[in-house]
Amino acid sequence: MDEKQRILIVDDEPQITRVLRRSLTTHGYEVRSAADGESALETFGDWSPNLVITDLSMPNVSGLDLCRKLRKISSVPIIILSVRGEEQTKVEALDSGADDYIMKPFGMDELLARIRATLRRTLEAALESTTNLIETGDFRIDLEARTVTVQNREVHLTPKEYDLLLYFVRHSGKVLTHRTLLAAIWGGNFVEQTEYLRVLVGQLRKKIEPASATPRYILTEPWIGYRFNSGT
Amino acid sequence: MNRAMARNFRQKVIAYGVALAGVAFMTALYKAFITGVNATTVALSLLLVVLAIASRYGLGPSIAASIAGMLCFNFFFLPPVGALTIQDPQNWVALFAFLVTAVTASQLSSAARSRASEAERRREEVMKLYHLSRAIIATPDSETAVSSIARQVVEVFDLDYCGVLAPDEMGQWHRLAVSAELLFRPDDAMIEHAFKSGIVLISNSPQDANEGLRDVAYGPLKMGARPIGVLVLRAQSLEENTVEAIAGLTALALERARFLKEVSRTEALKQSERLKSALLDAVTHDVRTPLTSIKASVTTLLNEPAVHGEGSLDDEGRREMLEVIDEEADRLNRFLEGLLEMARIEAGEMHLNPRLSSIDEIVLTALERAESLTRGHIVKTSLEADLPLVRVDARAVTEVIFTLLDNASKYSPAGSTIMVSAGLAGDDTLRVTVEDEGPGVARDLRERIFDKFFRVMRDGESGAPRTPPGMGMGLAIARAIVEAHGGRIWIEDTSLNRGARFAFTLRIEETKTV
Repeated sequence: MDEKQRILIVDDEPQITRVLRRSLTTHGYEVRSAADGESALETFGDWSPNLVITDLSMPNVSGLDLCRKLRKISSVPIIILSVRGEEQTKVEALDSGADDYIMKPFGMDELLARIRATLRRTLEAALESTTNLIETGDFRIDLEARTVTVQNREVHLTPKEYDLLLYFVRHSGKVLTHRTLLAAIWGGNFVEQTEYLRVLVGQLRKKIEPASATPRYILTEPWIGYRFNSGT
Repeated sequence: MNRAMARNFRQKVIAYGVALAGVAFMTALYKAFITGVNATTVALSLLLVVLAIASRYGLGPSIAASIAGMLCFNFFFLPPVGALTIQDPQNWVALFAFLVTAVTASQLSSAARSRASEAERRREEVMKLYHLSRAIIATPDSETAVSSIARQVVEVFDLDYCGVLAPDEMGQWHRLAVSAELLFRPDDAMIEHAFKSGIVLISNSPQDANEGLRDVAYGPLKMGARPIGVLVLRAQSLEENTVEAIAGLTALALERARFLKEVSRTEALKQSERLKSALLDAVTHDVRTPLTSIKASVTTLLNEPAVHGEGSLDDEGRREMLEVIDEEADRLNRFLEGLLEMARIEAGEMHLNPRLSSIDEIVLTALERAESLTRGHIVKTSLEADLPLVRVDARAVTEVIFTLLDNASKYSPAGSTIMVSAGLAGDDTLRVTVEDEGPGVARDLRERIFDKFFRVMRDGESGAPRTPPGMGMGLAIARAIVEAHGGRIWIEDTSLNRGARFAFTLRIEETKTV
């Protein structure tokens, strides 16, 4: 791909934006930065980046508000950086539309890996809409025939299991909160029924995981939700 | 015989004297000047005298006046004049009627008089109780509320002594408040008895040969039905009602004091909880932020591929990473120093080392130290020429100015001006100001901003609290330093009506001109 991927960094700590800008530029990304949510929204409008990396606590418009505002106008992937590690904050951020969440301080390799995963997902989604076929890692899903193969082995899924797997695959690599999954599969009235989700995930794991006790595809994010890894 | 009794006796003598003189005057008036009036007129006139004496001096003198009047009437006006015998039996009736009328009138009028004075006394007592309750309610805190009760009771009711005692859990009695130290010691057995029985006890015993008899009252203090202590009062005379009323008010005051204490303790607890969580937040933010920059820089350097290509930094980039690491390590260190400084101030261990110093030098040192922080701003200085030397701890005052510069750079947009000025303010005061072009500080926050861990939250509506760079410690330390030098620090309006102007003063010593 010739065109460089554009990343917008939003943080009010000048030293952090300085390091990220230098490091990401070196890794072949085009980078711009904003010191607060308001100017981030402005830059977003002018420049339409492929990814937004934002801090949570900032003047004027906080990271959470920025997520909500961006979600209203775009489906751009968002990665949150924050010094606050409580589950509550993570869930809130993910529910506000963030795709991933990284605790400060972080290693650059981890951030780069998350950036790659997030950007790949958007590429795959773009591809899917043209072919009606999802091929990612060990999975191959035919959207028209509703058939699923894992490592070339066909698996038979109930409609709910199929919906869940499809949702996972489409959001591969992203942390999905219980609420998000419940709302996606059962609808908004069931967001508190986490036991439905546990049961369904258990059934799905039995069918697709080589060893359901040590899952490789559907990974548990303790207290928060799940993350799907297609095996790439 | 003490003074009060002497005064009482003198008053009695005067009363009887006036009673007898009144009768004598009326008798003489009719005998010497107005002749030819009949006996009835004289008798009625004498009755007037008796009534006057009764309403003015009470029963005793008026009875005396009645008897004297009867004798005079008989001796001077009833035939045979000049003797105490009576010829006409009709006149016996007149004389008897006179005596009965006089005595009855005396009794009625003196009863009315004593009722009036009783009512007056009651009114005074109610007024006193009212004043006492006002005084109790007006005390602002629990400490003074308890300690001032006894003094207020003594002042308002004009007593010798007032003591408030309460037992602890072990049954040991403690004095919560006493009006004054006297030789007088309350009787422990009486205290115990009043406490247990719940009734007012009044003992009347000579305490001191010089002062005569004194009433000592032991009034139980009750909260509802539960006894909480005993009130001891001493005065010339005490009545049960009064003691009960005072005890009631004192119990209320104690209860109120306890309540105030409870409230302030809860408040303090809440405050310290808030402080703890603010400290945790601040530490989390202020340690992790520089660590993030450092870790990101270091991992970028570590991840560089051995072979030149994608992901390898140029020399400039490598240098920038190292610079960030260096600066952020300094920032961590500054943060730790701030914590230590704050801890020292908290522990009351601020060691100042005052020496005669030049404010110009201090300002310039601070500007130099803040250089990396104010790089994005235009910094101007305005120092008056020939400012006198000040005896201060130059390092500490440099810290104050550094903090203000740091603050100004954080809260004002890049490219705006920060103005540092120093000049005289009066004969013995030096004034230093740091002014920025940021959003300024709301009036209601201008005091609180100097509180420990206080930070201006700039985005009010969002869920995530805004944590501005910095600890919320700098200004608290600055204030402690300035105040330790006998100066003052505050925020004022700028001439342009935007931005914030921090000003602080330092005292100039009486410098002997050499």
